[in-house]
Amino acid sequence: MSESNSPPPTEPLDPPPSAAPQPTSSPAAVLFPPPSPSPLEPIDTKSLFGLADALLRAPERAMAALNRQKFGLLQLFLLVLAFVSVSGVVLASFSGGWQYLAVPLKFVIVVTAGPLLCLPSLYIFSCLSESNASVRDVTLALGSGLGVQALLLCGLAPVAWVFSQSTNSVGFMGALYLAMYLVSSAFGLGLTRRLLVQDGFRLGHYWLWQALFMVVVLQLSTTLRPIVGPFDGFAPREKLFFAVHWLQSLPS
Amino acid sequence: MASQQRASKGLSLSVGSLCRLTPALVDCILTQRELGRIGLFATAVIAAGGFAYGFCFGVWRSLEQGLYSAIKLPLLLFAVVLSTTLANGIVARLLRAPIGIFQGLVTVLLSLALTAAALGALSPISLSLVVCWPSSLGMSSRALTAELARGDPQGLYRTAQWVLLFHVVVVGACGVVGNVRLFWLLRRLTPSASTARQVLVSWLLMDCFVGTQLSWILRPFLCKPTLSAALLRPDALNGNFFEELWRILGPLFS
Repeated sequence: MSESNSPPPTEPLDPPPSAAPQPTSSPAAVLFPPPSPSPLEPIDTKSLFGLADALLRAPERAMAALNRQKFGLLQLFLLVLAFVSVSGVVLASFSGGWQYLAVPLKFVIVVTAGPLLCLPSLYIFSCLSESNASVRDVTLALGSGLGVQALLLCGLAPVAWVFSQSTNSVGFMGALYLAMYLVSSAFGLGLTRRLLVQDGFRLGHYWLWQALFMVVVLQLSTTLRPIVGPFDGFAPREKLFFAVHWLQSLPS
Repeated sequence: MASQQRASKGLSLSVGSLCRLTPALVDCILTQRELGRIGLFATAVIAAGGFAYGFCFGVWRSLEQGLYSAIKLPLLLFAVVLSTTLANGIVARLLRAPIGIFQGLVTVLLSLALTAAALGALSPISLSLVVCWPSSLGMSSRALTAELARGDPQGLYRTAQWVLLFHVVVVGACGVVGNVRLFWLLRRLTPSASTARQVLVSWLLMDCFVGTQLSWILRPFLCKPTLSAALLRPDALNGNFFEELWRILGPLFS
């Protein structure tokens, strides 16, 4: 977005004291006071819930604040870890038993390992787009998207829990969890895209990367199966391409 | 004055600046400054990126083949560059492109480094996909023999073909990225777009011609599931790629 196309700001973000409206005593001003400039609400990115709130309400500012903090990335990672683990526990309630241990672990691996595997390619795609984003910027943009995704997954967890208590169909629950994942991904990756495009990332490159990312995540979830259904040990099962696994899982 | 300032500032080399082909980098190539340093950096990127993706290429068969392919892929890229540098330089001169041999060598190294950087960045994705597909990886030779005797080896062959296709698509896509940048760079080194296009096409033809034969000599990269992992085939220097191609396609024309 070029500067020349953007409308001029109507009010400064942090108005200096001299710019504050002067009190006036005219009758019209008393009856209909001019709208006071609404300064940007302060955001708290130091605490876990403060960061969660900031990511949902003002992700761009949250990312800028995290960029200034020394352990911003670590904070983001802890947030993702915490909220995805909670979602994993709720997902595990469908099967119970050992799955209470296995599913959160596997779910954390699926949600975090996919982005980690795809981060180098996102950075190279960013450079090929002639974007000026550094490795840290790209990591933060991806982490912020992941944070939003983790929050949304956690928010949708009660819905999943209601269904998990009322059905025994593995196929239905699998489809429901997949839909939850895709919806949360759409929001999370949407934020990542917005943040990167601001830095000059080309959309075509981004869509290509996103397709690769989705393939990696879906393959990871297939490799770590069963996430839905009874516990079957921690050892990896037969190697299968995710599309083949889905076709085999369809009710005949 | 401005050029003096640029020269005194020095060139910072990173994978990011290489992928972006920053104005400072292009300026150095145009004015033939710091070509040795740029060439060395590009060589290091090719070695690292090629090693990473080569491992992904061979690991579907076995870890041993993964290591062999990791060594051979950068070797193949360097061999292609070394074999064609002189011819490419002469062709560029014949096409009236003001590109010196060393300048051309660094230009080609840069485009290959871009390809290798993209390959290296994609290697975690490729690795995560390839090791999840049915393969003989982790299977002992006895288990593999038993599997082949018991079952249908066509299944493994089919998977091998899909894996090979996947790698060809990835390497091809990264190659296109490198060549698009090469054209962009040539456009700045030559007086007209048509000259840049002619130079690019002639260089590509030369590299493809030599590259196919060198990859034939350095085979296997993927390795068939029924053959043992190997650095080179015992008959590596017997025949050539084009003879094999004719052997396959010849009957169709007779």
